[in-house]
Amino acid sequence: MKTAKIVLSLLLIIIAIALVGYTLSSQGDLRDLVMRLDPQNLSSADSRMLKARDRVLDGLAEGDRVRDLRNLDRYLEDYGPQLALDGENGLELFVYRNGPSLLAAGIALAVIGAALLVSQLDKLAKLRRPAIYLALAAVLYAGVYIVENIAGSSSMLMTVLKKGAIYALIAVSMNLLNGFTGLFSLGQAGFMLVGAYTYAIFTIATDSRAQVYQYYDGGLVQFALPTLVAIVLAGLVAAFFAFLIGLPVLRLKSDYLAIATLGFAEIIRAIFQYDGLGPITNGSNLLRKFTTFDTVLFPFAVAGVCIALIVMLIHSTYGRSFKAIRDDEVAAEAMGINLFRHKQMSFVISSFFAGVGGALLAMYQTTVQASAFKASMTYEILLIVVIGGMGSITGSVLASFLFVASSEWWLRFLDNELVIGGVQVPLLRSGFRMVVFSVVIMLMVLFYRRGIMGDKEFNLKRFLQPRVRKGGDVRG
Amino acid sequence: MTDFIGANLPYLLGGISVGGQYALIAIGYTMVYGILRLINFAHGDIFTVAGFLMVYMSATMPLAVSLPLTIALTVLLGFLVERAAYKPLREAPRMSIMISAIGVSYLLQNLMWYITGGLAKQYPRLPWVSDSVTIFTATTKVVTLVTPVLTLALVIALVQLINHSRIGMAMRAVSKDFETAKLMGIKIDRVISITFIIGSFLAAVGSALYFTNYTAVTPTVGAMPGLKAFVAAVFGGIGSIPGAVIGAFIIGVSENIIKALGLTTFSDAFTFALLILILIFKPTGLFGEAATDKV
Amino acid sequence: MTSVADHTLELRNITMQFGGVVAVDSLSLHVNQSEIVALIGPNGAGKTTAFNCITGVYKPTNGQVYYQDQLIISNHPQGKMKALYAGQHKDAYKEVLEPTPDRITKLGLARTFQNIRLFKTQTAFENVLIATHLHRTSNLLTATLRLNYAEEKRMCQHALDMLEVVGLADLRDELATSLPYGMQRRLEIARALATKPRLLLLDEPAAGMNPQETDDLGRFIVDIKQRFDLTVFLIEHHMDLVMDISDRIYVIDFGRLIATGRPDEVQDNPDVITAYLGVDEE
Repeated sequence: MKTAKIVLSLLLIIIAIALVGYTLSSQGDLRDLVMRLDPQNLSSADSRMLKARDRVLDGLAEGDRVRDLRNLDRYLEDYGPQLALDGENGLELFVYRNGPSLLAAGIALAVIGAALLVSQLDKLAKLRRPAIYLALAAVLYAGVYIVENIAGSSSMLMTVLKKGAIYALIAVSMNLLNGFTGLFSLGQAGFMLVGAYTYAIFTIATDSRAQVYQYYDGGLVQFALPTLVAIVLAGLVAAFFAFLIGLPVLRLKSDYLAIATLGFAEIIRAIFQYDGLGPITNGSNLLRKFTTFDTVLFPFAVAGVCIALIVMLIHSTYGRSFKAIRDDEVAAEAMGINLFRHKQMSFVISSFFAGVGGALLAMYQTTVQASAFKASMTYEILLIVVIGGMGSITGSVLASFLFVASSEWWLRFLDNELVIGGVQVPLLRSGFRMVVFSVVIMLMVLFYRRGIMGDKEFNLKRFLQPRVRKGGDVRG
Repeated sequence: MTDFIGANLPYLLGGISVGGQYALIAIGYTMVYGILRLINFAHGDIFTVAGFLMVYMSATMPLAVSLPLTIALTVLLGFLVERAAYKPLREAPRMSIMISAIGVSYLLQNLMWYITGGLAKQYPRLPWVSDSVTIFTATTKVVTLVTPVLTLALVIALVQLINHSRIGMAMRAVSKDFETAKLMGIKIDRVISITFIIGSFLAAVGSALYFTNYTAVTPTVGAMPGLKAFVAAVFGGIGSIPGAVIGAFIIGVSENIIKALGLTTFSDAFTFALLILILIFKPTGLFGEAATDKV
Repeated sequence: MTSVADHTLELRNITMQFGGVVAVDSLSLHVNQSEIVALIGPNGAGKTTAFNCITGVYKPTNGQVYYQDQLIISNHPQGKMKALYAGQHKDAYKEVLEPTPDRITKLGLARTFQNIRLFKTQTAFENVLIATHLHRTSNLLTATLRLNYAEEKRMCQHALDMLEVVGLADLRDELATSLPYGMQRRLEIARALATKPRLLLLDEPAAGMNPQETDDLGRFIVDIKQRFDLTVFLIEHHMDLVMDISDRIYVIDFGRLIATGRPDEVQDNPDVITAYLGVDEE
């Protein structure tokens, strides 16, 4: 059995190498391929056909892949029947067109093979779990990348995936606080605002500043940071705000804490809109023309790394103390856990990631305005956390994608008037989607209080081999 | 001197007036909190619903019908919200019921957006209270003067009800000790329903006064006055009705002073700064009672 | 002020007042190294309040607590209380020390709770594991990135050992609250032991146990006392257990110390009998 697995893993790696090698090599000889496509050299007789073929070759020469593919499509569409598209040529064309996807698939396969190999070697037992996670991540990222290449970056699916990933990070950061540490905080929108603004302020291109800060003489900040640095900075500034805010409010009891954090978020919003800070924050005007992302992989990568860090934190000795505080403050304190310090850690870390999430949201939206970060945004995220299950990371992630997908996509039809057989379907008009949506949320809150996942995590092993769990699970 | 008064009197009058309106909302918060230990996040939206009801009904009905009907329907809404969204969670952790309140708020806001199409509606002109009146040098609406008087009258009536009626006694008992009151045979659900009915009634009255001043009604317009009223309730000592009223007047007046100073951006932020200060230095508020936890 | 060298724990004039109620009234007592000392008294006598004063849950209105001859808690009356105490201890206590429960635990005092306070959503093993957090050397970053691999392993091993000690190793993956009552009490003890205490404070460890279980528990307490070189201070209602294992006993009633001595001495003390049985009213 074990040998079989090792052989399988080696086989996977060999296939992956072959795939990657073949794909890479076939990227080069398109010129040759295009020539071979026309074995009878029909182009020489048809000048339009020749032109079309030359366009393909020109695009190739310029190295503009997008244009090249477009020209190739047109060429094949117009003259396909006359060309030799079967057999080896067809395969090569397919490989050329889907090169990036195939490369991604190849790399994912290689990672899976390597992970399988590692998990079978006793000497590397320590690396078994990380290897499995790495393999899963490789599959996920390769999958998303391939789908993006097929569906196009601006398709609805990609929009949902982008926004969903960002919301997932923010929901998980809120879950760390509300679900794992038991602190009912409603300040998330405030920290997102800080993150979004910090990011935007420090990445607006220097030559666009005069235009963006037109009412403030081009603003005070006159340099731009690299994207990743700015994202980390966004988190740090949000964390710093949280540190200051936490000093007074973390000593408060549950519902007072909720209202105080909500209040602080409002104060932050007012400060950022204050005219006096205009040279930095642009007052109540939009911030725009900062660096954004164009592939879904970016938010996936950043959110993925952040969520992985949060998960590792939760499973560390510090995360265990957070859960202890959630379950019983008095007992936790009696076990030597300094309540204030640990609450502060959780609060600051949660805000750091909310800040990073805010920065990603800014990138997604391409513009930022403080007035958008209202309490209702926090409520929305809180509801995501509740739907996913307080105290479940996978629940929050799942719920984020479901939430974004249903509100942006699946329930869109509810907003459009619909006429079936000459009869207008009642109720369907703008705004109905959100009503249905909030009714569903209310029903969940009332009758499915533990959310999709409760406080359990999605577990691949348990999913594949379902069996009755021992131990009473009677918590309500 | 007259100049000074002339310049600042409108703000002061406005402050007292809006303070009275906050007070009427704040009572709903403070009574519900006193009994259920719940921040009823949906209370501000009930206040908004009352505004919309009035807008729609006054279009087809005379004032003598639309105003009482608005109040009656708002009360009914408050009652139904409690029955549908809070009662099923009576035994659940407190966080769940607060989340349910947030969910109700979300639902009401979306529902209002759906019905109105998201556009601001003009609140109807009420006879007499919408008329202008001049005091010294300041011109204002009659409602500015009516609000504090009406507020105080309602509060006094409410305090009398709580201190001298059977249901008032039951309310006091429930807010003192929920479990024991239940064991003593007090019909908890009835007491809670009546609390929500009173709260919604006052919110409906407050809404009529508030929107006579600020006539644009939008689906989210109630969120901010709602939060401020809650802050007022905390400031006065949550659970205490006189505390909520005094807190509301303080917040209303100081907010308008800040506006007079030209710092309008910070008028909302100030309210929350006040909240945080009071939570740090006197968490029980001006008139609240301290509670000790048993270990 | 002098202190006797081998007192592990010493209370001096500890007073705890809630509004008009004096729950603990000028209580002074000491527990010597390696002793098992019991604090007994009728219901509502202020035993748990005294524990809460020692462990930093309450700030005593007045008085001091010494641990291994080191002053760990000290308070002097303030405001209204000062007027009440002005005559007696006007200048005695200037210093105010109000350590939080976690600092007390770090000093080496660990406790259990009368009304079992386990971490409800966690397994037996996780409950004990949390108590090892106290002695961590890793910081947030190293712990998150698992650079403390070796320490983590030690923590888990220690938690397992403690479960072994109380005989719950087989039930390590059970949800703490799904365990039978007696085992929950044992789990609380395991959790307290995992903080590596020198002094163990047990608040009614035998509550709700049948005579057989109580008997076992008595032997168990003596056993862990020797095994971990502990000093034990306990509150208990089961007189058999108290008489069996205690070296000395303090009896309090209405917050005040009414008797002290060896078990046999206390047993025959008329004040104690009155406190427990009440006075015949004639």
